[in-house]
Amino acid sequence: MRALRRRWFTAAWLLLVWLALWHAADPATVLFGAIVVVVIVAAFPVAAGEDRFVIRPWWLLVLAGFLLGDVALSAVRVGRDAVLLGFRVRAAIIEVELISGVDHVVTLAANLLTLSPGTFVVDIDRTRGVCYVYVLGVRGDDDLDKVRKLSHRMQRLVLLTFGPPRRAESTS
Amino acid sequence: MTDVLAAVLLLSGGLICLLGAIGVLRFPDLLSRLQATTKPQTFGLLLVLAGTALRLPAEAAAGLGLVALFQVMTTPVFAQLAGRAAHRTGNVDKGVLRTDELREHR
Repeated sequence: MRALRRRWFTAAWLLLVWLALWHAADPATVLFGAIVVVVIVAAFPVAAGEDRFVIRPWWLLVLAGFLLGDVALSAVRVGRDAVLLGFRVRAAIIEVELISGVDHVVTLAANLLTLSPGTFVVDIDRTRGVCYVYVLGVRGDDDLDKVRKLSHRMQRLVLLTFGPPRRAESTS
Repeated sequence: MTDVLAAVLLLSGGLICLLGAIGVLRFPDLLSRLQATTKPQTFGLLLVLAGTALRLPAEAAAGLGLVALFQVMTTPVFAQLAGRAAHRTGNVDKGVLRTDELREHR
């Protein structure tokens, strides 16, 4: 029960997924959903320290807008490269500095960067605090600088949205 | 009006998936083809789902939201695993890469 109180957000989210899957919100569905959620939360405990996960709704909106724009723009770019360049396309793997050491911030930032067409994180070196980003459709060095700037902005936004309270304040 | 918007979303989603398929055919190596298979497909699917959601009753559209969410959550994980495995086993066409700062640190 203590775990449930500490992880009420996870529990509420799981219940929401359950209701969406059943396309219904009648008392019976909610009751059985609640039972399943309690079992799941009890069966899969998280490591201590991971419960400082916060979401700031305003920054989540900004992040979603930024992502949508980025994904749309680069989907078109990769499509253009596919049609116009094809075999002549060039790529690069560059080193990008990680601005946060918090586990879930690094994971989310890497995943979001991978979501955007034309870039993905090949590897992360936590000891040196860098990640390696693959960039498709490179024409010159300024393309690489653009990706570096983009991934820094992405990391800052993730930090502002999900980061632990103190760190987010120090970077904004 | 809803019909027009749904048609625009469905068609542009399909077009972007087509561009991804062209990329799979025309890009030179594993990493670049991996980009073409995973990324435009995801965005194309999101557009198709948005277009479909417009034509469905609200409670069915919520299920489509879940499809979109899980697609967005799982595709990067797959791309990352496949890409990293390819790079570690040396299945990278060096002629395609202008710089490889990861190899320089190995």
